[in-house]
This record gives sequence, C-alpha cells and structure tokens, in this order.
Amino acid sequence: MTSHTAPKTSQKIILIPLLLVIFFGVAMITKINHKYQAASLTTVSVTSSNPRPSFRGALAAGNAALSTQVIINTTANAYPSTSSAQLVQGDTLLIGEGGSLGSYPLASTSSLSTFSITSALAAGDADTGDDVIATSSANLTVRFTTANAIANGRFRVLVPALASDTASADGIPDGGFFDFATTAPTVTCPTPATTTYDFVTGTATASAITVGATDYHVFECAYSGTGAITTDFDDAPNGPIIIANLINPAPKASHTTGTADTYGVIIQHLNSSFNTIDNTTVNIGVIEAVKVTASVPPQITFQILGIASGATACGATTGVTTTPASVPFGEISISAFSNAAQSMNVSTNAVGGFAVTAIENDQLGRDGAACAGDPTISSNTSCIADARGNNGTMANGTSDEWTNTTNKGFAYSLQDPNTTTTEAFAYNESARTFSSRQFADSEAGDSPVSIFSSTGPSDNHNIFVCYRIIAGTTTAAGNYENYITYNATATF
Amino acid sequence: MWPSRDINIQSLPHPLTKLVAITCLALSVWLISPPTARAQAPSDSDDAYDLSISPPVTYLQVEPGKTVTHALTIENKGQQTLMVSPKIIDFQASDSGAGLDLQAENSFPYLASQTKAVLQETFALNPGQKYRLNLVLSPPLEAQEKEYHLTVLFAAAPVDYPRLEAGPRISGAIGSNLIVFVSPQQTNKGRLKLKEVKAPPLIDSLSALTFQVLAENVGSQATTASGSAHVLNWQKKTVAEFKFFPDMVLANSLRSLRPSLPATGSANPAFEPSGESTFRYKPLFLIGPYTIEVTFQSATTQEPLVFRVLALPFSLMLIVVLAPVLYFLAMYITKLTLASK
Repeated sequence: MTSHTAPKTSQKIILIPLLLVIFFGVAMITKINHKYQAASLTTVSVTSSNPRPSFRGALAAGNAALSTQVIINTTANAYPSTSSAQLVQGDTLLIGEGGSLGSYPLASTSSLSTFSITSALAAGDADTGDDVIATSSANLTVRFTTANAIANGRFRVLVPALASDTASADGIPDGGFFDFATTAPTVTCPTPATTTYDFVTGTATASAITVGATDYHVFECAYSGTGAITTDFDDAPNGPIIIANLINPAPKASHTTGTADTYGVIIQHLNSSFNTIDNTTVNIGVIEAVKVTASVPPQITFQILGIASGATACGATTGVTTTPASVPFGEISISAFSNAAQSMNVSTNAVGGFAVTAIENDQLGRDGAACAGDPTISSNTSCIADARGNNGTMANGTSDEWTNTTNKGFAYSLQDPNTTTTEAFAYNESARTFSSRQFADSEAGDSPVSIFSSTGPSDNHNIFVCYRIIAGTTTAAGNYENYITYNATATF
Repeated sequence: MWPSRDINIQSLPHPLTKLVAITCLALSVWLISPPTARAQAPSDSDDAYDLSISPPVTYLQVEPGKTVTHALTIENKGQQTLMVSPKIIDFQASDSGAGLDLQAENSFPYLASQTKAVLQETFALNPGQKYRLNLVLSPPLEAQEKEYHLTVLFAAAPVDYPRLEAGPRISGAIGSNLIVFVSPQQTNKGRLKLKEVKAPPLIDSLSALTFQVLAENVGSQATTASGSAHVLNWQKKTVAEFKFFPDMVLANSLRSLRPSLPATGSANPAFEPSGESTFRYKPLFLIGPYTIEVTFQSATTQEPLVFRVLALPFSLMLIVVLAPVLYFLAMYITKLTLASK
C-alpha cells in the first residue's frame, strides 16, 4: 500500500503547483483581456465645416490672354472638375501652368463651360490644358466616446490621401483625395489637463500610413494619463479634435453633380506601444453647394390704385371710390367740396431715381367739350375750371390753400403717407389744411409737372393724389370730364 | 335685486366720473371716426394699373451708316388688360440736371421705317404679359454728330374705359429714357466745366460750411461726373474731401453734383454725410479763410477751380457785445424796481 501511496503523494506535489500556475495564468490572461477588450469607439462623428468640393479643371481651346472670359474643358472625366456649376461667385481661381499659376477672382458663371473673371488672363495663363484650380478648405471636427481606458495612449485620425507624398501636400486639390496643403493643417487636441487625459500638441503628417490600398494623412493627439472608459470627446470639458485647413478633394472620377462623394475617415485609439486598440471608420460627404441664381434687370414699376370712399387722404374724407382709371365724382355739390383720392407707387433700381409727372388734356368740360384757355365760371359756364384757391394764386406750379367753398373749380393735393418719397408739395405745407395746385393743362400749352420723385433707387415710393371739386352756381348741368395722364420715367 | 343697477353716474366719486366720461367720449370718437387712408388705402389692389419697363435708362452710341437695335420690355403686372400706345418724344434735362421735362415732339430723325410703323400701333397687354419693342436706329452716313435725349413712353388705359357721370379719367404712362449719341468716333466727347459754386462768402464759426457745385457739360456727349471737391483751411491743409457721385451730365446740360456717401474721411467724426446735392463740412469750430477746390477728372479736362469762404465767430461776437448790454439792462431794471418800492 505504501508503495502505492508514495507515487500518489508525489503526483499531488507536482499537480498542485501546476494547477496554481494554470490558475494564475488564466487569471492574468483574463485580466489583460478585460483591460484591452478590442472594441470600437462609440458615438463617432466627423463633421466638415465646408462640404464643397475643390475645383480642379483645365482650360479648353479658345482662351486668349487679356480676356476675362474663361472656357474650361467639359469633357467628362478628362479632369476631376468639368463644369463651372461647381464654382460660386467669390471663389478665387488659380489658372496657368504648374509653378506659375495666376490668381483670378471669379466674377460670374454664364454657362457650364464658361465663366468670367474680374481681371484679364495674363499671357501664359491662357494655354489649352492649363490648370484651373479653386481650393475649398474645411475644418474637420472629430467627436467620439472612448471604449477602453488606455494609459498614455493617443488618438489618431486618418484622412484619405494621394499615394504620392509630394502631390498629396502641394496645395493643389486632388481628385478623390484630401490635400494636406503646403502648410500643415493645425490639429487642435482636446483640452483637459487631468491625471486621466493630459494632451500634448497635435501632430499632422502627410500621406503617412497605408491601410489596405489607401494612403492616409495622419493627425494625432497623444496624451499622458490613465485614460478612462466612455469618456466623451465632443464638447466641454473635453472638446473634440479639430483639424483645420485641410483642402477638400476635387470630384472623384465619374462624379455626378448633386451627389455626394463619400470618404472614409478612420479614428483610432492607440496604446503606448502604438498598437491600435479601438478603430472606427466614418464616412463624410463632399458635395457641391446648391447654387441659387437670379438676375435683376434694370427696371421701373409704376402702380396706380383706387382709394375707397370714406378714407382719409390729405386730411379730407373721400366721398367716392376711385379706380385706377377713373375718379367718378358723380353728382357734385355747388356748396360743398367733393373729395376723392388715388394711390401711386413707384419702384426702380435706376441709380438716378425716378419722376412722376401729371398733365390734364384740358379742364373739365361739359360732355368732354373743350375749355379753351383759362376760363372762369362766368366766362364759360360749360367748364369746371381749374380752381384758383382762397387767395387766387393757385397755378400748376404754385400752391394755395383751398378751403373756401366760394372758390369753385377743380384741383389736387398730395400726401406722402409713409414718408417714402419727395413730393412736389404737401396738403399740409405752411400749416395749411388743403394746400392744392392746378393740373398742368395741355390744352393751354402747359408741360407735364412733376408731382413726386426720387434721386436714387426707390422701393415702393408711395403717394396719395387727392382730388377736390366744387361746381359754381352758374355751372351748366351736365357731365363733365377730362383726362389726366401720369408719366413715370426714370431719371439719370 | 341687483344693487349695481341702482348706481348711476352721479353717484360715483367725482374723479372716477370724469375718467369714465372721458373714456366713453374717446371710444365714441374712435368708433365714429372715418378710417384713415393708410389703413384702407387701395380699394382693390388687384384692379391696379401696374406697369413695369426695362431698361429704364439706356445710353447708346450709333455710328453713322450703321444700324443698332435697342430692345425694351414692358410688362403688365396688374390684373386687367390694358391697351398700350408707344411713342417716342424728346426730353430736356431740368435746370438741376436730375429731372427731365417731357416734350411733345420727337426730334430723332433716324428711326427705321419698321420702328415708325410699330410706334403707330396700339396693342393689348394682358395681365402678366410682356411685350418687347425693338427700336431700330439707323443714322445715314452723312448724319451729323449729335446727342439726342429721348423717352420711349408707353401710355396705358384699360380696354373698357369706364363711362363717368362726371370727373376725370386717369391714364398711366411709363417711360424709358434713351440717350443716343450719333458719332463716328468711339472716344467720349463729354467735357465737364464748373459752372458755379454756390456758397455764402461769410459764415459763422459755429455753423457748417455748405456748398453746391453746378457743373456744365460743354461737350457733345453725356459724361459721368468724376472728380472731387476739397475744402482747405487757412494753412492750405485739406480738411474735407468729397468725391462726386458718378451722375450723368447730358450734353449741353447743367447738373448739380452730389457727394458720394460716405464722404472720404468719414472716420473722422467732424465729417457728416451730405444729402442730395449739398456738400457739408461741419467741424466743431470753423475759423479763417477756407478754400473750396473743385477738380473734374474727365477725359479732356482736369482743371482745379477755387472758391473762398471766410468763417468768423459772429455768434460769439454777438454774445460778447450783447452780454454787457443785457447785464447793465438787468441791473438798471433791478434798480428801478427797488427804487419804486
């Protein structure tokens, strides 16, 4: 029995340490795996401050030095950019041969193949095939939440780049890739300075890493500290990573206008040994701005509107409703004024402004008959003559108060209800109640008289023209009418 | 029983009675007062004449022997069909040069026959419809060099002109100005000359130095006002500079020039923006002789012209003179008052 017992004891002596080694080994592995459990960063986003693609095209044949019209090559896929629709006013274009590009602000685009520049093409910048470039730079803001607590690690952002180190950082947009620019983009790292995360200045390296078959610009934010799980790097207190002044790609091959080109940006969390622990890829889109175009022709617009009965215009209450074409006084009194009014509006973008003049074909004649010269009630009972005012001084260029109903006739006054325009006179000038004037009389040889005007571009300049009439006791019964014409013209 | 019904206005305390009465009176006045025109203005805006023309002003140069076509577009933006009659008439620049006086006649002799025919026609313009008028100008080779000031006027009236019992009928017309220079040469033949500087020779030190510049275009073609007016103090140092607003001055016409705004040097609070055709320099205090120097920069002239203004502290001198007089007058009155007591 003893011979049997001894081997069993020795087996136990060997087995127990072995089990302990296995136990601690498993425990260590478990601990390590618990600390660096490979995972993805969460809540990851990359936003671009400017999603417009850069422009990289070439001149077509037909351009000439000293011309401000530029024709580009529109052959599909011959160059990354083949349509001027991608450009917007305010862009600065670089045109010419590599190494000697001239700078030309864009004035406007007139067709998909043609645009205008504000200064003429210099000699040497008008050759067929010369580069036409407009860079569109953006800031990329990278936000994320950590998945693991990694001590003394670093965050790394990978942005697609051309394989060529030189071309990927020459400041000239690359079709389908971000350009690093000639001056390295600045990397703003998160700001906390704690025992958990204490960042150093960010670094940027052009086309430094190849992942799969794609090269990437590398932007890093390294830190000292313990790190932590589920730390948000978005807004305060930690803040995101910001990569400033990266040049957006020119359109990819076979790009469709209005459809975004997408680019995978990789965000990695590395440990102190530069091993990637967490890795997440997000796509960002680069797409043309929606171009809104409109042309405003030089123009002047003139409106005449009727005013309803019962309204107050020029301090008087209107007794009839007018239309744009008529002032239908109807039956008028011989002892009280009849008042009516119209509204007139002018808008123009002419730099010199506008003027509206008025003229009547004749004084109001019975059944439209002529009122030769300047008749009075007594001299021609078949006319309602132009009024002469309380003081008998009224004319087509001289105002007079007209409130006395013993002074018969027809006249007008003006009110600028919104203080928008410059009227020839106002109903309440010189503390008057109804300052008024005669209409210029074409039959008497008068020229049209300005009633309101402006000396610059005008937005809806508005005036009330107020008509007043009263018949004399000797005025013959009948229908009286005349024609008043308002001319609106721009001034210069 | 409702006790409140037994309360009549006389039973209320006196101040409250007045308040209620005033409120009732104000409400009554408000209720019976006619609406203002501003609130009730257009009777029916859909019924308005609403015409638009483009372009409002055009400057054309036509070489003798060549033909130029100028297009005008008129649009009926209103809601009623209008009958439109186009015609071409002359205009004259007003004395200030900014406005224009429409004439009855047309002195331009080089309208092509097809244009003359079109101008004889009245056409209907439906709501929203546009009409394009092509003016064909064709001066013959022997045409003399001259600038013509024309307005293409479109008179509009409704198709159904209302029959009135009494009162005027209204028609609206809208015009486009056309300044045509017939000349074989492409060089600008405008030539600005200073006609007058309007400014008082003596001003008070506390007032503003204001002046107007009247320019005359003695050339044969309209030209843009270009140049500046400088105000120099007694040390010959420029204290204000006003660039002229680039208004057009027609051939053989006068124009009151306007300053461009804001005036150069507006960062200096002593400068105030000028309005219309008045140039205004207003520092805290003006003293001594000031010189207004006007320079035109046209293709053919560059002539600085000067006008002098003397600023003296008249208002302060008046105060200095009047103050002792008023003091002694006050003392005298006081003395008389005391003596009478």
